[in-house]
Amino acid sequence: MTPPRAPSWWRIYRGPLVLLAVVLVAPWLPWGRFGYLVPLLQLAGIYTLLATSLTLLLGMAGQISLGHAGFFAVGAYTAGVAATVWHWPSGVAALAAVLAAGLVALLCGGMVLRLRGHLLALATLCLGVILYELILKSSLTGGAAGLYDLPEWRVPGRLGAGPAGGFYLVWGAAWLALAWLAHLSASPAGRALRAVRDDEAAAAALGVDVFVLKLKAFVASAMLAGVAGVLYAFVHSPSYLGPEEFGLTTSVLLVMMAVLGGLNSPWGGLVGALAVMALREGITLVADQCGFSGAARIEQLVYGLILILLLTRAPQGLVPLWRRVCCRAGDS
Amino acid sequence: MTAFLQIEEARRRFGGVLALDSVSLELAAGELTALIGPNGAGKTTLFNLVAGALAPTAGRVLFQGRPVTGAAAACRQGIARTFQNVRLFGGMTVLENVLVGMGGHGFWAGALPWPAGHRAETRRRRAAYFLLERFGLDAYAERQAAGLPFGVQRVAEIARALAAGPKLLLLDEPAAGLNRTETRQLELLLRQIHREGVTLLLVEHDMPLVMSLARRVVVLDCGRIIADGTPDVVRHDSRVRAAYLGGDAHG
Ligand SMILES: Nc1ncnc2c1ncn2[C@@H]1O[C@H](COP(=O)(O)OP(=O)(O)O)[C@@H](O)[C@H]1O
Ligand SMILES: [Mg+2]
Repeated sequence: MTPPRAPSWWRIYRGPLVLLAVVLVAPWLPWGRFGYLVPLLQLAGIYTLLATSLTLLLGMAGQISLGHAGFFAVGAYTAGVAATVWHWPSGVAALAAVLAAGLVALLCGGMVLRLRGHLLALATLCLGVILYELILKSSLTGGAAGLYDLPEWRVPGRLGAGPAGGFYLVWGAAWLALAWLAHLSASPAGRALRAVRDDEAAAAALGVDVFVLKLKAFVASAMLAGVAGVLYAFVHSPSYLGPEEFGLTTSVLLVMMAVLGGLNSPWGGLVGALAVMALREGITLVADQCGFSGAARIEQLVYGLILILLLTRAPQGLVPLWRRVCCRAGDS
Repeated sequence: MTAFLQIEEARRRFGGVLALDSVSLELAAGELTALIGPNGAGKTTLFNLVAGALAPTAGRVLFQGRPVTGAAAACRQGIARTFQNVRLFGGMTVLENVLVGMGGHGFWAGALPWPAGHRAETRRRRAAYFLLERFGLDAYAERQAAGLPFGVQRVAEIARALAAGPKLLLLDEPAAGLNRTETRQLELLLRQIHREGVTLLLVEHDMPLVMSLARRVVVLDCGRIIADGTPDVVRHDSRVRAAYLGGDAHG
């Protein structure tokens, strides 16, 4: 064997390039009567961003967060409040929102990241609940009533009016996050994160500043969730921003997406988010076709069962499963 | 002149257990010293203090005149270690394990794709690969560390520690769990590392290995140093025989 080189640019970036092509053509496909799926895919882009932020934190650095919807909320509400209550320009509001998510993570991470395992899970869960309650109880955020008439972001020019208007913005951000994670994963910093995940004491003995690195990963992850929040507020749902979307259920759903997609691949968040969204939509569609009216009631049930089945059958997630299937197909 | 490694009246308490009781020890650069003693004597604890993984309850540890403040800082000062129970990064390949030792972990620096970063990474990979080749581990370079034979993991852990370019290498029972051939190879490997100028301090229960390898033997018992001298002197010390070789002998 010859001495190995750094992974080539092509090897790191071919995935992101393919994804970019898909994103560019997706809104223009002949969707026909499935046109309603395009906004749904746009929401999937926001969830991809969120799940990817957990792939970074949980998959690479090995630190769980059961409160990530809280950072999503900080992003969305800082943007919303700054734009509608304080009348900041939306660009400045967005920037402030992402920084706020990072700042909250920096302050809280300093406290909770000294904890491990169950304790970290509990502490982050509490953090998420506290952030949710703050938003619900505050008068600034409109409480349960929410905020109305936020600035709406679209792609400038003629494109903005079409289906791609918001889609390109959301998926552009998701794409940047995924490409960045693919790069980070192959870099020495990604290696150090995985070292921390596998054995903190051994990583420290090799010169890795364990706590500082964990904190940076936490802040970066929260800022990604903050970006998702801004996109949710200004692109996906600018007419109304309410607290429903930011509770514990969402936090758990995000962990589910990241784990289901596969924690060992930078693509896990994308695959997990798309799979969960597709599953949800698929169940409704099938129920409608069968003329079954109680779909909403059994949806959660079927959805939960399928997820349990997937997680027990493929605990490593869908990305490795997909690779296994492809290899087998290639062999025969 | 400041000593290479200087441990001054180090004490370490775990709740009610006094694991180290006022240990003072000096090491000169280029030494090959063995630290022996019965189980529970405090050898691993002493390693943890020197490597910065634990802070002393009292006393201090100076490396090249500067206090050791933490594990990552100790590594940057030039102290590397292996663990009593091998602790490779199980989810990573052997090559990646060694690469972690080669540094460049900066999060923000690694966050953007600079060409300079790419070149540095290629350099690191070359160096890591040659290190593995020297240790006869190149065949395992791309294999996942978890699940490799134990002997291979032991040597890989030493290679990983050397990747950090240490001046002082601490080895905690490197021969434990190795068969006779592997122990023989380990001895050659350690001699070679020592010849290249790395100061070695090893904890070891394998007495033939200790006696043939070390020029100086320090004996720890119940958290105190009870003997310190050449292998021959220590072997015939009556207190050592009572505490260790005579009583609950290990090898
Ligand atoms: N992290 C720890 N917590 C509590 N007690 C410890 C810890 N590490 C070591 N000890 C205790 O300190 C004493 C010395 O242990 P150790 O340094 O591992 O001995 P050795 O390596 O010589 O076998 C033992 O009594 C052990 O139980
Ligand atoms: Mg020990």
